Amino acid sequence: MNSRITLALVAMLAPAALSAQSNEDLQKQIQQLKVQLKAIEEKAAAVQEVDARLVKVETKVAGNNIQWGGDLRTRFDSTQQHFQPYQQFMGFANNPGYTLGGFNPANPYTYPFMPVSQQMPAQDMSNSVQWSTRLRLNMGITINENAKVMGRLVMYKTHGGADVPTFNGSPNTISTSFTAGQTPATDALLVERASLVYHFPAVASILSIGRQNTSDGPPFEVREGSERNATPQALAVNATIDGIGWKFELEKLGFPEGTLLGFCYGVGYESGFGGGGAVKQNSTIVGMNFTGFNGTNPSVITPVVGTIGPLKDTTVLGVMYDMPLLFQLGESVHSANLYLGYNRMGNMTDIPYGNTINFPIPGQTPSPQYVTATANLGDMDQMTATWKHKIGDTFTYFLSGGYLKSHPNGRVSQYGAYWTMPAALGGNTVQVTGFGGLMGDPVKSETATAYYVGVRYDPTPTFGMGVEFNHGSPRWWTYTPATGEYTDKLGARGDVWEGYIHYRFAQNAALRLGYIDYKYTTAMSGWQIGPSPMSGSWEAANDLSKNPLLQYGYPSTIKNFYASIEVKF
Amino acid sequence: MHKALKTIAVLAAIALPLAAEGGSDTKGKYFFKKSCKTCHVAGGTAQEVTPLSKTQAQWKAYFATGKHKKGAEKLESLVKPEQVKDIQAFLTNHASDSPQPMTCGG
Repeated sequence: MNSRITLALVAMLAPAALSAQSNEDLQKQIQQLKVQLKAIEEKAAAVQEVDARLVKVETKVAGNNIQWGGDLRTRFDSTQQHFQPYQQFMGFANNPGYTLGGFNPANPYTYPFMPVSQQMPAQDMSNSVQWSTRLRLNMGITINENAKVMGRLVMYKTHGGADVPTFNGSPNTISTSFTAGQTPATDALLVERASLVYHFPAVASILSIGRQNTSDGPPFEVREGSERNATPQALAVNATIDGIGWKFELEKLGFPEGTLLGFCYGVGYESGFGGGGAVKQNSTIVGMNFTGFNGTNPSVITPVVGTIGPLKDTTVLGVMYDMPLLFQLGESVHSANLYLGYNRMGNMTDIPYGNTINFPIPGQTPSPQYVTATANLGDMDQMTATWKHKIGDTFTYFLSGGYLKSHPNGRVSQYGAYWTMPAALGGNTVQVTGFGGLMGDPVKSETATAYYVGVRYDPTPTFGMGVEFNHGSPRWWTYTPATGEYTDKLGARGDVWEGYIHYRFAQNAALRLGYIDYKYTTAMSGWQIGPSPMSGSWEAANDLSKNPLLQYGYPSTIKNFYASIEVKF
Repeated sequence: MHKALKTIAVLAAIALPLAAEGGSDTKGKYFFKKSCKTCHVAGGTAQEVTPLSKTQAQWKAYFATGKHKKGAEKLESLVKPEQVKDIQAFLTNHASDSPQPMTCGG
């Protein structure tokens, strides 16, 4: 009976107990769900926040279609220059010793007018502390899948008062369009590069129009410890050139991957712009010269007015070949490049248009001086070749060579003084001072050569050291107004040694210490022009060790120690 | 001259411990071309890839997973482990946000 009652009670009470347990579970589940819901709500809020931030980022990225990069370099230079004795040209005067009988066409000191000069002793000049800062901002703008705009803005100046450079006879102290961002100038940002680069996949070619990547080309990247910065070889040109380049990718023709054959056209001077094209015909007076001399009667010598022009556009037509090689020999991987270049420079002028910030005027305060081309002097052929070879990551060497040949048109610069000799005396326009004709000879074609070699050893990824040497023959010229050094080294007529160490002390930050030793043999390094010799050979007349007659003094040696901090971003 | 050599030696000594343990940039370029570019080229069987395809951090993250084909296979099943390191060094050194971004052409 009891058991029945118990069973009945259990039967009656069981649902209630079960119900109580279910409620408890449900409460628990509800609590859990509430917690989960709260977590989901928090996550949703976080997602919403992320979404809002993402929209902001996307909007910003969409608006920021310029990709920026660049580098900052602060450099210390300590320099000593030595000048050997030379005769400082002072002007012309009547020659009191002139006689008809003593006249010798080959010796200007027997002319009715003779150059007046002052003997200058050997001199030393020291600039033991010079600081400079260079900021380069690289920009890339994607237009569409095949088109990009590439640019570089540069501020490069010495520390202290802005606008320091003084014209000292060297072309790299003239601020021109070619030297924008290449030589220390002002605190303004200058446009060194700005070009539209269009890729035509269908014809495997790349078109580039505008202000080209023509500075710091191969093999300069070895010293810099960077990738190649430009197409033209450093020994050919290291300046900013405006023009058009069209490169063809030869890979599909069986050449190694990345092989390019390029053609370029650039303008060095546009004669029609400004002044209504007046220089195409005209005649702005720049000086006084002498003509009509017949060697027998001084009274028929006629002063003539020297004029600017008429001037034609200066142009450059070039062909370049770039073949990269990447191969494995045993365990070692080798990376090499062969670069070949040919440029035909047409209607070259005596000097570029530009200004000198502090032009020295005897007896007066140096002042800004605008300089201008005065004559087309002829054409020039330039050939360059470079082989660069990197073995693994540690050892790189390069060999680079250049050859020049001038095609003068008989004209000389209007800066300076010249005689137009009568036919009986050769009939040439002779300029014994000033800027003269192309490569120092307005009539005869001249040649020049140079080579540039170097090695770099990187025992670790953070430490490298290198040695470079370049040599230029007496008439060598290349338009490298500055290559980042205190003064241009690849245009040197003589020998230049450079040794450096490059230590990356942190990511994208490096210290560089170096020493450059310049030994010049011949005056007017860096110039494509030069006056004719008064007598004897041109090389002897411009030999710095032979007391030459010069309008500007040129150092025979420069010793330059430098230290720089370089950061990239 | 003697002083200059001393300075170089000291700097070299400082630099050695700082040498990255990463792979070789030059080798990386070679192996990337040899191994990866067989498929990852424009018009190839896989999407085109160049160092510019990712940022440095993205390349680092990619190689940290060690996976290829979205995780379907291990990188080391395709390329030797030391070569993976070299390829990573090359791609990272020339990534889109590196100081020397580049494609793989030259």
